[in-house]
Amino acid sequence: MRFFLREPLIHFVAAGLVLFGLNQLFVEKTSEVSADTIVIDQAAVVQFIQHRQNRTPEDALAQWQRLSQSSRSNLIKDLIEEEALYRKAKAFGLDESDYVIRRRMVQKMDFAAAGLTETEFTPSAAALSDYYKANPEQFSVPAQITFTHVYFDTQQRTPAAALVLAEQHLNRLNADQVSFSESGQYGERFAYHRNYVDRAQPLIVDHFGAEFAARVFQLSATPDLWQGPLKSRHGVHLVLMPTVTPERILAFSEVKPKVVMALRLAEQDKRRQAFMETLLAEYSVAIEPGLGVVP
Amino acid sequence: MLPSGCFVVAGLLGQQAIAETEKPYSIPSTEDYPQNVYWGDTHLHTRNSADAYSLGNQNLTPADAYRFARGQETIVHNGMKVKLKRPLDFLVVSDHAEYLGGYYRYNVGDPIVTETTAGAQWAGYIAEGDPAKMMASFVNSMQDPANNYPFPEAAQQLIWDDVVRTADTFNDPGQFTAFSGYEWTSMIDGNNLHRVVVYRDAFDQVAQLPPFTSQTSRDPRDLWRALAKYEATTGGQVMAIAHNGNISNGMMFPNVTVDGQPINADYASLRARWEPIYEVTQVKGDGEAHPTLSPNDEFADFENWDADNIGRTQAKEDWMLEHEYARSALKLGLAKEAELGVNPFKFGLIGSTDGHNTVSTTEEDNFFGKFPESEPKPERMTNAMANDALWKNWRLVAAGYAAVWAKENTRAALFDAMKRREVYATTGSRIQVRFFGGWSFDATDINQPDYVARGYKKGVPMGGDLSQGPDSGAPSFLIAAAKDPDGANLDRVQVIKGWQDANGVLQEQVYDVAWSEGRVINAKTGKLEAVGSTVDVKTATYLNTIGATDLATFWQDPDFDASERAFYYVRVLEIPRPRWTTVDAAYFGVELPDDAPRSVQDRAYTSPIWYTP
Repeated sequence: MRFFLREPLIHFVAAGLVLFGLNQLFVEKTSEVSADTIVIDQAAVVQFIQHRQNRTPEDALAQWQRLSQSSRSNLIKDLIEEEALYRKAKAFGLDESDYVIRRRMVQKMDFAAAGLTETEFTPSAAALSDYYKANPEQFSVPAQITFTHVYFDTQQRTPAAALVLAEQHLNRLNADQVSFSESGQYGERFAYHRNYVDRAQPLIVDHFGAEFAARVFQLSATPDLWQGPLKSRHGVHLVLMPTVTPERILAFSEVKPKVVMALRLAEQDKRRQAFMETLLAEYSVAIEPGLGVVP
Repeated sequence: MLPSGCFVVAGLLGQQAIAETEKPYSIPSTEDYPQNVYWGDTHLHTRNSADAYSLGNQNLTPADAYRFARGQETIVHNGMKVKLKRPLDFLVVSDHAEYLGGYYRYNVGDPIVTETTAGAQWAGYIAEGDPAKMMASFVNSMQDPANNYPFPEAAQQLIWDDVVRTADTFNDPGQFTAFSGYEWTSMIDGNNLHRVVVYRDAFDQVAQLPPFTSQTSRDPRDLWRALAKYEATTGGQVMAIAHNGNISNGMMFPNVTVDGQPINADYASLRARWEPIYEVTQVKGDGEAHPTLSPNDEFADFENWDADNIGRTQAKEDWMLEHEYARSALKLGLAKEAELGVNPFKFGLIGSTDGHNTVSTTEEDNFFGKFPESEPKPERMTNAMANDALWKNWRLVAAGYAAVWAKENTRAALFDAMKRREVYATTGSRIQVRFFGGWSFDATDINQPDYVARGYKKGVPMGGDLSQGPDSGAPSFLIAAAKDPDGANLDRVQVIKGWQDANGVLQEQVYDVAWSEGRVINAKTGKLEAVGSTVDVKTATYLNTIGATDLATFWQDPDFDASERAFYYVRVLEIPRPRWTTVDAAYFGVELPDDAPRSVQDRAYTSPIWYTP
């Protein structure tokens, strides 16, 4: 049953790609210049918003008028692509005026343009390896820190007094070789966590503020040495930091399924983009000056 | 193989003596309790959901949902770019199981769908020029599966494989957890009985059985049996999370089963087993408490949706409310336990979004609505959901989060925490809350830097149970709340107690237990003075010049009776901030609807701690 169902899908997609590969041959050039021009005027924009978002024409117009320049550009880009895909679908012999049908045609074209279902996508080892090497940021673990801290509040005393208190404790903590698990016996209750285990910088920024986060990641990774005092937005801290794990790129073998997925998505984007470029080259786009948009 | 018992004893004693002076080798193992709170959404839809697709989400996929949750910028349907200020730690993409992925696949001509009976039926509708009928078959297929054909199992299986594989690909242990899941969309007479189903496992187990749909059965007991079958077949683990009791017209926490029989011990055991947590707050209303049920609670009137049911077929009647809201359900659970020996409604609390446009957004100043129609735009406050068929969109709640206390960010650790109910809900802010109950806390424990260790050592965390206390004395609690570092200050911390008294009557009481400085409890009214407001409606801004950055307290129940079943949970309130509608009005320069609240006190609800005599 599985194969029975899968096979026609492969055929469909394959047929679609062949079709689009040959699309130039099928395009019927008309003598009128306007047939190759996609006109983007206010009426087109209003209709687009109206249908896509199920709004009244008045609401659609009101929405458009209040959109930012970049949102307008994004919408116009969608509209142009939709129109081009629609015309292409129409050129293949389907012709319906209903908007739901129009969207269906557009989605069909778009799907075929992007192509690549999971079953047919079997990239070569070299393609995977190249993608992995070219996009290390997608397969990395950010720098992480593990530390515990002893905290002194600056709401119930002045910052200066808190600093003095912290200095006194620093000597004592180091003299007594106070361990990670014993940190809770010193200082005061902290609103967030006492121990931070393998956490990345954004969370440390969230809980302590940017200045503390920057400093704590730069402390020397000396085990068993209490360091500080460090100021945060809450107060003053002494820090015992046994480990900072620097950012690392995961080994290819650890992330191979992710590389396959990422490459598939990237490949779909690429094919779609290439298809759209070819398609849009067949049309000129005329945007009504009054719309004030540069797509 | 040890030579003799004597050696064993000597050996153990020797090791113990050494262990006390030696530092453990592995740092994380020094604390044997959850040290991190993880933030996520267990309820999000993409274009794979039939209703989302019908209402305009035709391009944004589960992969897009995971990428957005991890912090990637996305362009949504109104043309705007959207990005989370702080990425999520975990996500369940929970598309409707009924015709899962079906409309998209039909529209692109995927034979997995077009060659089914449903596909043929839809083709007929299209040929007749009536595509709206195709869209309606999603709802019709649940109400009348005989005439609206569910996908055959083989088609379901192929689509499910794809969903599960995508979740596995985006699951990144230690960094980001992607759970496999779906929504079972049961609706009876227009009443909402929906459940999100969440798996702990990966493809090799999850993909062995396709989702259980409400086209097969709309009875929750059949869903629970299907979950049991999954566990028995695969050795995996799974749970169901109900939501939107507020639009169930009394059916969510019922006295009777869907076929009208009084619920029995079997029902209670199954429900307690499969539904350890409840989604108490989301975009379609907050479901903690209702003012009619809790007239003395001035904060109960919060983002309630209490007009009718999800099908809008029947107006709300007062008798229904008790069976719809979490607080009253927790109380009903105590009575059921007394009657049946098992508490069917012993659930922890989480929040989630139920967004249908692939982007999980919860914040008042970064809220992207439910469907594409309610993405930011000037008229989203005056239009109404689902092509103006349902409720006004200004009512949408910018909510919520599931907060999970766990040792690490993995499927196993997060799922296990949900199962033991060490979780809590917020209405969209990242408020941090710790809550412990026990018999031997000292009042000073809460002020200690290691109060968390003391909480675990001497008591139980949220979601836990207390029983068989000392002969005299009442349970006490350690409670600590800290503001969202990027959000509003805190107004107050409250303990909400529900109990069944000696006459069998269900009772509740709200205690203010900690609050920001400068206020007192009015001796006459027993109420704490309101915190005030710094909200400027015109500019949609507020200031953290009132409230507290964190609040912590030791609290002991002053009205404890050891013979009475009870539960306790914590509610933390923020100071008022501009509601998303106010943010919209300022941004777009439009009028606010008269009924829309100008400001909102976002809040957290912890899972309860139960006391059983």
